[in-house]
Amino acid sequence: MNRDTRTLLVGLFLVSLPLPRTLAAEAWTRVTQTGELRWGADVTGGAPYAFPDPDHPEKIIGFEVDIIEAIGRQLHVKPRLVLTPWDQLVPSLLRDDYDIAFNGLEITPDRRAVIDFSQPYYLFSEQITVRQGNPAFDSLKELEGHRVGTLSASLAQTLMTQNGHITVVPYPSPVEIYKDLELGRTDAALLDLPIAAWYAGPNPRLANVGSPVGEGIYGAGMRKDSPLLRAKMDEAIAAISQSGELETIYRKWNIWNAGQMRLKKSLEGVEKTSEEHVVALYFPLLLKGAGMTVILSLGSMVLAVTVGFGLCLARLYGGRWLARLAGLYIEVIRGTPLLIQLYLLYYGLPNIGIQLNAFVAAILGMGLNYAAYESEIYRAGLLSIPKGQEEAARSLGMTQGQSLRYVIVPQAIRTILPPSTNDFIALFKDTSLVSVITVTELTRTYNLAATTTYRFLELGLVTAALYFAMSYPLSLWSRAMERRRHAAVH
Amino acid sequence: MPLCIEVENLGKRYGAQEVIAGLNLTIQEGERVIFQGPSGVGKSTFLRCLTYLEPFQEGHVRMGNLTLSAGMDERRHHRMIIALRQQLGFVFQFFNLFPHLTVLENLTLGPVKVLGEPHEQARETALTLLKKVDLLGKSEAYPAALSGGQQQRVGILRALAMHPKALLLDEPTSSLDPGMKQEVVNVLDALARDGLTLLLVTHEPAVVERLATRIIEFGPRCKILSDRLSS
Repeated sequence: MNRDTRTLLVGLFLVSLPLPRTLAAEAWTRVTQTGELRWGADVTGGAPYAFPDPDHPEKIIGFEVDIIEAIGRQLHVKPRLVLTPWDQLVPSLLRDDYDIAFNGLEITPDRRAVIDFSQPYYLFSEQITVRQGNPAFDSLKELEGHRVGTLSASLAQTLMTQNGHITVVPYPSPVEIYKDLELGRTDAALLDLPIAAWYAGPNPRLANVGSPVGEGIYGAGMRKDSPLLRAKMDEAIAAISQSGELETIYRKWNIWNAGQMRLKKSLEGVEKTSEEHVVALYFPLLLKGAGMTVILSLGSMVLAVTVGFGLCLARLYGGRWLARLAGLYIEVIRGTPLLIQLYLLYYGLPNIGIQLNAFVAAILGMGLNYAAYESEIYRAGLLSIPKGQEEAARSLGMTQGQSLRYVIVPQAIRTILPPSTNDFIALFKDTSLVSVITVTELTRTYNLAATTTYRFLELGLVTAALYFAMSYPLSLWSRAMERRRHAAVH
Repeated sequence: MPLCIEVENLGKRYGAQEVIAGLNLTIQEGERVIFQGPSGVGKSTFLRCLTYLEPFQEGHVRMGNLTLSAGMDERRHHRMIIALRQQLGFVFQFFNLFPHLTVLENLTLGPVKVLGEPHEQARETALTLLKKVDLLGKSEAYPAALSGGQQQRVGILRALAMHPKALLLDEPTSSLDPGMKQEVVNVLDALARDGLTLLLVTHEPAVVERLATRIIEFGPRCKILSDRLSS
């Protein structure tokens, strides 16, 4: 088999896929298909969250390892750890290196803008640590004027920087922080309570002192396109919290405190992801898809109107060759399916070195296709204006351009607008076709949601309702215009 | 009397069918010429050839230093053609007013867009013209709201607003009721008194009687059968 045949076969294979790849689809689908839940964490200096067992370094232990295993049992999937530097937790998650980021990831508004979070599984505060026998600091205020070590990019660092009077010494990992404190290079350390409890607690030369500073919550981070996984995680976390399993884990790692009681109370409200909630769960995603559908429609229509008008002028006034060319374009475009045109643009052009991104290919495909139909509407509209109008314009000394602009087009628009609006409604619905070239608009969103949940009916009805809600006003407008046209006296 | 329009050996065919065969004619300024003849002899076509609304295959049409020649390309020679059209106003049998524009806009469109007149000036001219034919009250109306007679009066004004040297009128009253015909004839009569050159294709005895200074009878293919002065 030579290379060309192979390329052709691969091409045909791609084209034959009903929905090319379930890329960026709901993570829960993958999780259930493979039976494994991939979670991202950093184990270097990761105690007591997730770290190599000092006795058996090839084994990773920690309270988060215990939690994820409990969650796995709840969801009937096997957790698999994917190692990632801590500061890469979110980017790697977005790259689909794993399904959840689960490693002391504080829930913050900044992160919420990029990813989704599960219900919180741990409520933490910041713990002050000093050298044994040194005066104890009780609050952030008392740390003012001192050198205080902490982890970079942590909540503690933010709190101290905001205070403004504390000399913050940021470190990449906790071991060095407590070492330098012991050696007197810093006056205190401020870190998340589990870290302080693990590293400083057993150290006779250090003491955890004062009241807890600040407060934050850890949650599992997930991509925004996976609401079902999020719901499953919420369900599992609530379940192990209510069963007391979570408390047992925290007590084992010596990080249970009154704060966790409060968290447990808040998790009582989390309901089991019953099937009825599937629609509500996916509604925001469907809305986002609808937004994309609107953008696609508008972009394609602008292109269709512009190119369509050009084609129409070429056909009516362009001289023999331009007119023939325009005519040929219109016939070819109208005589071939839009679907094939989209495939050619998106999967075909790369074969000759032209690579369009899916969005551009979608707008081009839809726009150039509808331009052919639009141009025929315009042509009919311009031809419907009596010949006497053009003669009158010419008799006044107008050029052909002036006659078109001031006399013919303004009159033709009334004839053109209603069918053109109808065309736009058709285009609006046809945007569902671009889901085949991986543009995540409304239909593709529906497809992803439905193949994940098998709720084809409910989600389908909601999707159809969204389409209808958008197209109906347009069709009312079109009908109103047609009425006005008929009412107009001639 | 200075020369106004000179037609030299004008020939026009539709395919193989000859409509005008070698027509020679001179019209002086201030003349009011009525063209008569059975329908189908090419009277209207002849009138339309004078401003190249119909292209012709032979001869010339001259007016002052402007010359239309057979086979001119409308786009290539549009300056010449447009200049001539501005001098020879055209009035159509079925008015051909612009239905999407008000009466006033119908009268100012040409002056503003073609002659480049300031909008205010074109408006003043238009209102003065409308006043003359008693249509000032209709300046904001759309053509559809006017009677046929009123529409044709606006049609005449639209041509006049371009400050032409002569008016070509193609059966201007034949689609009107008798009363309306009178309105239009009155307007033409007033123009005649101002000394405007008129070329009319018409069968109306009233028009001929009131306006004609010269009557030309066409036979088939626009052969001139008779050409006489009228009082």
